[in-house]
Amino acid sequence: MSPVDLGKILVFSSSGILCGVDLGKVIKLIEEKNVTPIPRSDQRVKGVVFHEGKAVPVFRSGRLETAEKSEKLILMLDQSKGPVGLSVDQVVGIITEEDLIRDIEGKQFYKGTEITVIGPNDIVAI
Amino acid sequence: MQSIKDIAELPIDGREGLVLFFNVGEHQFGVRLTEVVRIDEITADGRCELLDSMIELDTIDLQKFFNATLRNKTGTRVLIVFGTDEEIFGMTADEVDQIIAAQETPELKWPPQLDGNLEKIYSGFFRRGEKLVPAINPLAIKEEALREAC
Repeated sequence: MSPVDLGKILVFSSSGILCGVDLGKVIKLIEEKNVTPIPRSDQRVKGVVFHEGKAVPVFRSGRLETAEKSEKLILMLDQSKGPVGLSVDQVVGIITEEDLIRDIEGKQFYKGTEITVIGPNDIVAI
Repeated sequence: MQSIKDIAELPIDGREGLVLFFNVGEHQFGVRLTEVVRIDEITADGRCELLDSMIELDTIDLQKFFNATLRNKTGTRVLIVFGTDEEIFGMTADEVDQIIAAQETPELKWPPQLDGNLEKIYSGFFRRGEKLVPAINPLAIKEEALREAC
């Protein structure tokens, strides 16, 4: 991870939910296409895509009931088990941890909107 | 689309290095042709010469197994018979798509982030251009389907 990326967060939205991920774990942002669904898989698994010689799983990030209609981009993330894709609506921007405000319950907010910062290793299928 | 008769008449040693792609509803799957013993057509009114001659054949309805929603408009289906040293069994699908040389459709590993149970049903993925097609493990599907009583 580049020193420049330390403390930077890539913010994205899915189904109206604001999320963030360590910018240092972002490999690439690609247009969502050629995602092959996997019958009988967990409903959070959108499918797989062919990326740099591998079959990379793509997970839904928004509310399951609306995700299919709105997700247009795939964030390729570096996970301990290999690259993983996260299907998102749009990328909002890049912020730093100083831009986040925490309340007494530990929730994080960006410009007044609650944001969930996830780790790539949190993206797993059951 | 490859003729089913052409596929059925290939000798065993002629099936080496070939991959069969077939459709089940809105899904497509691939399997190495060496695992396929016979293929036959099931007519719209349910008649199949091969099935008639193999009365005791365990047959799995893949449309039901994979919860496919699209239906073959012609009403015809295909019966694909798989064989191992110990047993043979059948699966019904909508249609055969194509047979391709394995070197033209490389197989990719099952991603480690995905469900380990599914890894039994699927052996990986075949690459067809920029798209991936799930590679099935027929014996694992048969065991799971019989357990679910498809």
